[in-house]
Amino acid sequence: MKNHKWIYAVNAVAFLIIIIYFGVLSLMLPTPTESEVERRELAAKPDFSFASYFAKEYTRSFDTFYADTFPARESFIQLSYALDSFKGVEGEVKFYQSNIQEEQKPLVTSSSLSSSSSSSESASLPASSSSSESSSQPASSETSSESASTLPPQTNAVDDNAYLNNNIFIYKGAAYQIFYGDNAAAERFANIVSSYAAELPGVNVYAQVVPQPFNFYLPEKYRKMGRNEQDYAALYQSKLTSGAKGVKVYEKLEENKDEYIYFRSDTHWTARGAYSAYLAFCESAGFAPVSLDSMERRVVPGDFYGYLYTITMDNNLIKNPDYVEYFIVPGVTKVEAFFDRGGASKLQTMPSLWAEDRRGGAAYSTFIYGDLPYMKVSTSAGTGRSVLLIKDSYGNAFAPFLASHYDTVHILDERYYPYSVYGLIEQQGIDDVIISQSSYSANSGSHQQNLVSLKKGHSGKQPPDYSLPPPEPAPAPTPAPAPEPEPEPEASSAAEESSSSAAE
Amino acid sequence: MVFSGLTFIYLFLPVNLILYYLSKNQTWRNTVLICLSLFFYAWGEPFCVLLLMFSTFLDYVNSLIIDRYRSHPLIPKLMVAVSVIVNLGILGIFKYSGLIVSSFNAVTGLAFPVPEIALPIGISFYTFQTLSYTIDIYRDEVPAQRNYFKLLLYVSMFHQLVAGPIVRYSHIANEIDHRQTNMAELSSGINRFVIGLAKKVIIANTCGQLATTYMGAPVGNLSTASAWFGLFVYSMQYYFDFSGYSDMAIGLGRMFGFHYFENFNYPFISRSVSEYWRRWHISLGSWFKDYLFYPLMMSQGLRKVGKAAKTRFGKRAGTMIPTVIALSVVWFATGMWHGASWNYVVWGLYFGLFIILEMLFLDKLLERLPRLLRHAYLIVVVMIGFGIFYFEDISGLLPFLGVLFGMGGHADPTIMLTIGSNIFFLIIAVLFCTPVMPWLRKWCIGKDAGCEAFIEMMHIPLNILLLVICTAYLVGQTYNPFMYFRF
Amino acid sequence: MNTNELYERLNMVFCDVFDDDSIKVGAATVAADIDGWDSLMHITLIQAVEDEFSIRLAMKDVVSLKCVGDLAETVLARTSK
Repeated sequence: MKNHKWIYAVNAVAFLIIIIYFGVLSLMLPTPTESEVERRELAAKPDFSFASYFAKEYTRSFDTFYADTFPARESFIQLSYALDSFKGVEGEVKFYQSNIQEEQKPLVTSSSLSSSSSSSESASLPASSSSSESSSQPASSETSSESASTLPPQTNAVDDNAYLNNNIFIYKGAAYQIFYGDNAAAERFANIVSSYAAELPGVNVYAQVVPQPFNFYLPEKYRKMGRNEQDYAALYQSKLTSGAKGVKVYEKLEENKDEYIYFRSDTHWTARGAYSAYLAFCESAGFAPVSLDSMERRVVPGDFYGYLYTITMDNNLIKNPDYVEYFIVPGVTKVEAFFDRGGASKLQTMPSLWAEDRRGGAAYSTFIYGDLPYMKVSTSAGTGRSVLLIKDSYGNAFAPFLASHYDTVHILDERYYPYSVYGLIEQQGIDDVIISQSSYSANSGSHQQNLVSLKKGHSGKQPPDYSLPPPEPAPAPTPAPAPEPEPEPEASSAAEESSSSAAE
Repeated sequence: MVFSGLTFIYLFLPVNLILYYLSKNQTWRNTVLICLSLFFYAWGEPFCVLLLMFSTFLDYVNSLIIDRYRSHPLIPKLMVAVSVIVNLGILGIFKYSGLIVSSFNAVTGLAFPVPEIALPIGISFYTFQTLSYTIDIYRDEVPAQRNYFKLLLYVSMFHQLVAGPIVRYSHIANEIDHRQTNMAELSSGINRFVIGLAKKVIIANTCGQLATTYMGAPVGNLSTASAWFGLFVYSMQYYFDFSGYSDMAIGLGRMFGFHYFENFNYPFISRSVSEYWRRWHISLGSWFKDYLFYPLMMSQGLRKVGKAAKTRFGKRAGTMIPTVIALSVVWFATGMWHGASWNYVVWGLYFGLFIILEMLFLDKLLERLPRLLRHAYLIVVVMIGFGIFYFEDISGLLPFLGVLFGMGGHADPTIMLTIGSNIFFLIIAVLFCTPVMPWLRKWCIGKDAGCEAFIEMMHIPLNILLLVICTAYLVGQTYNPFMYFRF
Repeated sequence: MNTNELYERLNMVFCDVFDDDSIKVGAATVAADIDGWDSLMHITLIQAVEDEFSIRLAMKDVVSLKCVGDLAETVLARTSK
């Protein structure tokens, strides 16, 4: 033992050097504020105050901040995921229990939470990369605003988790999540759709529930763990009353399951998947579908690594990477939208139905710019009819196809549209209503709640009449032309509006 | 602050080591340790750091009084009683008032508001330390500490403050004033700390993820196999978490010249429940032995019970009956100590029952069994114990136990996938539940004494490797992609 | 009482408590040397010693005994009072 003195010294010094080196580095290096990979903001260094210290907030935020901004963080993360792959042997099917916490929120400090959703909205305008946001606003670049703009409303968090789970299967280069639907929820969904039909005489109400890909591809052994979605769809359809119609999406998707209808690394379907649903809808509505070949096909440049890759980082998912293709549905003459979940007194004109600048992990939001609260599409279809699509994010890829059959297509996101849907239907004289939900959403209590509360509007307000000139906001500078970032004052007035509506 | 946190490893620890080793004499070094220990505690407990200081002060004063009036027939008894009542009273208010009120409400049907008091970090541990100090002074086992700050150092020392081991004052009294630090100690402390860190971050956390999947799942989704698997990984998670923490505490102590007793001694290799409890959380077991079991056994009441039993039922009953009574009390208290929920009491009594049964006859029976079966007996008893420990609610436990023993349940094809994709990890984890490293070391040195230097040398790259891996996992935990897809 | 006599009487107590006539204790005997000397038997042993010598041991003695030598010393100290 006596002769090992130098070994002890080297050991002690090596350890000390590492902890001191990283310790100093962590204090000296500039701290990043956002993570591109995770599409969220990193925790900011908390300001010390006795109030936050005694509330045990300061130290907790400091720990979070420190871990979030640790030197070489992304390399360490990659190392940890690489190490995970040595834990065992890989079979044909791989199973992940994601360690990602259930409640995902972009990390924003409590003080900025109230304004985060609306302030980021202004930054998520098409092609905007407004870098000069005031410091109180969390969104400061395109990537972070992308994440913030899809911030789920606070009310959504809890009961989705009962059905959405973090168990992910990887099979033949694609990731699958299992859907565990329950019959009572299917009936509730059918009742809500039926109530739309009953309360909207003269309007055709359609429901479409988009099944999950595990139904079509995962080996039976694992598939059996979940709910058979054909049965699930048949069940809710059999409970529809008052003339509401169920679109047979499952069957059409199954027919086309050899095509590229779902992303392998993401939870969404592709434009081709949505096209299958469109074919099914045309059958229900009695339309002659436009063939896909007649539309111009475009592809988002670069690979698309979706959410399921982001959380599993499974190498099988990048061997055959996803891409996002979209089809230019002809006849679109004008696209207008608003971005603020608090609502807006005027619509902005958009250059197209597709956000063609979206790349990488954000590529799915190429379709109708992602989850905007409201979009109005005018077309040259000349049918004299108009449709309202009440959708979740699955509906984004589906919505463009409707342009071939309606003069006006209204698209609203059930989570974010603040105004009364019944008011909108009456005001715009809408003929058809399509309620499009992924099976997860259809089965989820919070989405069902949304569909109910939408009737009178999440904010309880009637939609403004956009055909009238917009009322001047108090300190109103002239609104900038369409694709420009919205000017600050408007965003802040909208923020007030949204917070006041949230208080109601 | 936790040892297995980046803030601790890369900010607190280096600052601590630098300040400590820059300080020249013991007084300054003790000052550094006290200040940083209080900072450490105040990091997590802004208010309760005062409670800790008060608690220490009370025992400091009481002990001085006991020491001063040692020959007085009443004062020492009174002071020790005050100390016990106040210490346990504080613990009771913070830890058990919610349980007491809600249980009272449940029994009487009344609806008193249930107080919601946050449990101060480490209060169960340091209360037992301050208590043991005063009782030791009362028993005249060690001279009372004249310097409040030195006693505060003993109580607040950040190594053991939060999660043990429950250090006795008598064990470190000498080291407070006279301790040696040298390279060998520092180096071995570092080795121990890094091993503890790896046990916690690499093994326990990974087991924890698996355990959450299978223990946290709705029982309807579990098969018998996956329920056992869940229990198995939960047991390992708990062991590696706790023993890793003790390793880190012991390692930290050594870095600063303190020697704490071992707290775990490979409990899962035991062949009986009594042996298991001599190897599991040793400092707690010996605390209950010295401050509850022995005093109970030596008390007038139980002696009388013993005498009476002896004259009525014979000699064996004369010893067994008081022992059974005392053990029941001890295991009730042990269960209670672990948490303010009745399942912990059930858990404590469950182990007490096995210890009593072993004492009465089971031991004799087990001795006739092959070793493998005795291990199997212990493992099953311990794992089911962990099931009781896990479910705070009996309505969660019973269905789970049902699935465990083949009632109900559901085919779960994921279990084989999970085992397959974690098989190497699981094998290594199980291996480290046994003293495989000490065996290996002994075997190497037995072959060639020169091996020792080599083993010491191997610690250097091993420490660096483990530290990097642990850092990767700790940073990896913060990887939290925004779930934009929530439809 | 001389030391031999003391150890003889102690040995008797040990044989009786552990139910094993082959036990031979000396000053250096520790708990690990005797099969079954655990914390449960420790108390039985202490009480048997107390009865044998008609003394009362303090908690300090109960807790801090390391070997039979300690026990013998304690007994000697108590009986000579």
